[in-house]
Parts: sequence; C-alpha cells; structure tokens
Amino acid sequence: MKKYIILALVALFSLSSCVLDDGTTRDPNKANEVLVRKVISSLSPTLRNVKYILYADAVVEGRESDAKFIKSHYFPNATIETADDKITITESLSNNQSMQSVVTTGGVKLTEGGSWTLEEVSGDKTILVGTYTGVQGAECTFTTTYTNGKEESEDYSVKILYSLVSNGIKMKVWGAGDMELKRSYTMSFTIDDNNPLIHYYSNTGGSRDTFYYINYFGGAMNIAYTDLVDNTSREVNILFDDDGDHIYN
Amino acid sequence: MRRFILLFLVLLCGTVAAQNRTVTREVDENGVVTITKYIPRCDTRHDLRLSIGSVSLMSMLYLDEGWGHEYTSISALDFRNQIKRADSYSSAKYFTGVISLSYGYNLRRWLQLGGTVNFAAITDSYKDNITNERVENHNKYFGSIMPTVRFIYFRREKVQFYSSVSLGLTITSYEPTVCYDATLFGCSFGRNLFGFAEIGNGIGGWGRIGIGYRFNSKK
Repeated sequence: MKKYIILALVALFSLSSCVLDDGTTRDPNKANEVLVRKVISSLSPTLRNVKYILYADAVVEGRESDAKFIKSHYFPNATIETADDKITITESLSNNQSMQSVVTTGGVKLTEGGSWTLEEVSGDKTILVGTYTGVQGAECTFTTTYTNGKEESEDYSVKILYSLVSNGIKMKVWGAGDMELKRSYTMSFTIDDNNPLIHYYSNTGGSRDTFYYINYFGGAMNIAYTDLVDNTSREVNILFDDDGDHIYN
Repeated sequence: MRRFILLFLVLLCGTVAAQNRTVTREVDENGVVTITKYIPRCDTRHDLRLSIGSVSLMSMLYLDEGWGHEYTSISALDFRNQIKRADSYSSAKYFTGVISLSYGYNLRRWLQLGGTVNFAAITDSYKDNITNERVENHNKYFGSIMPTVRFIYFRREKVQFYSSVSLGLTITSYEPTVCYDATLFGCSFGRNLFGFAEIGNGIGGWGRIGIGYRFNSKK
C-alpha cells in the first residue's frame, strides 16, 4: 500500500507547474527591427514609383530599348496612352480593377529642366504620389508627401542616382523623411550623405511588384522615434551590407 | 496528459488486484454449510483529501480568458504599440495545476457529503529585451468553494470506486461566477491513508490525483 501512496505523491509533484506556453525569445534588437521595417515599408514603394518616371523619360527622349526594358520588367501587361503633356500607364489589379499611373510632363523634358508629377488614379480617387526632377545618371530629386487627410502623414525627399542594370533598376538613395501619426508618434530618418542606400529594384514580372525588404545592399541610415504619449525617444543607426543583411549601431 | 492516463491505468490495475474476497463458505463436521459474506464496516466518518488536477477548459476560461486569448500578435497592433511590445519579451507561462482540498463526511456507506476548495494560477511575465528585467506581471489566479456530494458505489477494505458532483462559486479578479465540478469516475486505494485518481469534468480538471486520510473524531 505504501507503494501506491508514494506513487501518488511522486505523480502529484511531477504533474504540477506544467508549461502552457514557452513564451518568446529575447531579442535586444526587436524594437529596432520594427522601426527599420516601418521606414523601409514606406520608402521602398516611393523608390519603386521611379519606374514610371524612368519609362516616361525613356519614351519622351526616344530611347525605345530602355522603354521596352522597363515595361517588360515592371508592367508587361499594362496599356500605355501617350499625350503631349502626360503618359498614362494602366495596370490590371488582382481584384478585377485597374489602376492608372499618370506621369504629367507638362510637355517639358527633364533634360530641359522639367518638373514632372506622378499620380495614382484608382476609381474616382487621385493621389499625388510625388514630384520628380533630374535626369538619369545624375542625382535626381523625388519628393513625395502623403497624408490620409486625418491623422497620419509622411513627408520625405530623396535623391536618387539610378541606372538600368540587367535585372532591373539600381539606385543610390540619399535623403531624409518624416512620418507622423498625430497624438501617437513621430519618426524621422536620415540617410548618410557619405554612405547612400544601395537599392536594387528587380522584378520577375507581373502587374504589381512585391515588396522586397532585403533589396538594400549598402548604405547607412539613422532613425529617430518619439512616442508622443509616453514622451520617450529612441534612436537607431543601421548599416546595410553587401549581402543584404543589416546591423545596428 | 499521457502521464495522467498511464498513472490512472496503473492504479486501476493495482486496485483490482487489491480486492479481498467477500464471501467465504465453510462446511463443518456435521455437514452444515456456513456462508459468510464480508461487508466492510464504514467505521471512519471523516475523509480529508489533497489533490492536484490537470488543465481544463473551465480553468483556462478563468485564468487565460480562453487559452491564449489575451495574446495579440505583434503584427496586429498599431505601430506605436508594436514598438512598446517589441521592447519586451514574454517568459514561459506556467500553470500550477488545480490544487484542491476537500472534506467529506460519510452519512452512509454509499453517500458522502462535504465541500471542496480549489486554487489555481498561471504565472506569466514580460521582461525587458535589453536589461532582461521583469517589467510586467501577468499572473492570474482563481479560487473556488463548492459543496460536494460523493457517491461510493463500490467499497472494499482497501479500494473504493465513486463519483461526485460539486456546485459553487469561483472567485477571480472579476465578479464571482458559478462553477461546477464532477468526478465521472474515481478510485481510491488504501485504508486510512490512501491515494486516489479521478477522471472528471469541470473546474477541477479532467484528471486528478491526490492523497487523503480517513479518520474518526476523538470522543
């Protein structure tokens, strides 16, 4: 009988305090990662809108091979409408809708000092994506301001040195930007002037590109974040390496 | 869970082997047959038990709001709360088991009345990702108190089979709520000092094991 009692006692203790959940892993850089992803997720689409400008520039300047290369890589199934003062690129979306990207040139070439605008038209909504000045091979300025009209806004200006390479567009990116959600947070980023971001925008095709987080292969950036509710701030320096990885300073 | 099942099976086999013969037959020199049927006396009135029970849906509803319900994926949070959540990590979550203390009084050989008190807790915390210091506790507890009725349908000197039902109140950080517990099948083994194992449903967990003591009050 004692054996049964002892067995019950052993089971009693061994079965107590069971682990329901292993929890998460400690990661000192987790908050930094969230910050970087936020900036990258906002910056990358802006950089990729350059494809429409590059295409329009190639069309206006008569560089047919460049125009064909860009269209085949980034919007192969799009329909193009060309006018004297604008070029409209219409792409089909996955939900049977279409979206137009309208490059308004005003009839002035970039090489002649023109300032072009890029708008996205979807249904009855038109969004000014940004303005663009400069030419391929030189530092071009792309400024974009976004606001949802309520609480959230993004405002940044980047300079891009871009070139067409075998798998798409290679860009060197300088600049800075601000993001704000009222009564919640503000955030700003600054790309090191002496160490610009190297971004490869490659695409295997399709009507819409996919966000490639890892396509930054160089450069350094500083991000400053302020929590407006707790009144706390943090700052992180990030360095991208040639392999597409990044480290924090 | 496997440990509970294996243990219960081992105990069940042991209890079957521990049964005494209940009927004896004797024939004397005159050919008179005497049949003696042994009926164990219910000579202990009080029954005190300490047990630990496994997790159950009911206990998790009280402690974890539905098992992991409180945990929201970081990606589902707004950006500001993503940053705050990213500053910390969650430690492992431990469940104490449902610890029960019960008392029963033998009104009849087959009927016991008494009460049960339960306690259980989940310990959980968030720690700072950089300093590794605890920043927030998410410990949760509940206690319950219930009158208990136990039906003993098989009683021998060292073995008893029974079922029970309890209905009472559970106290958590919210308002007290009604709770129940039922032992679908229980088995105890031993005389005064005994061990027991149960399969049940309700706040006590689906599987319980424990030890107990039967005694009479001193006159």
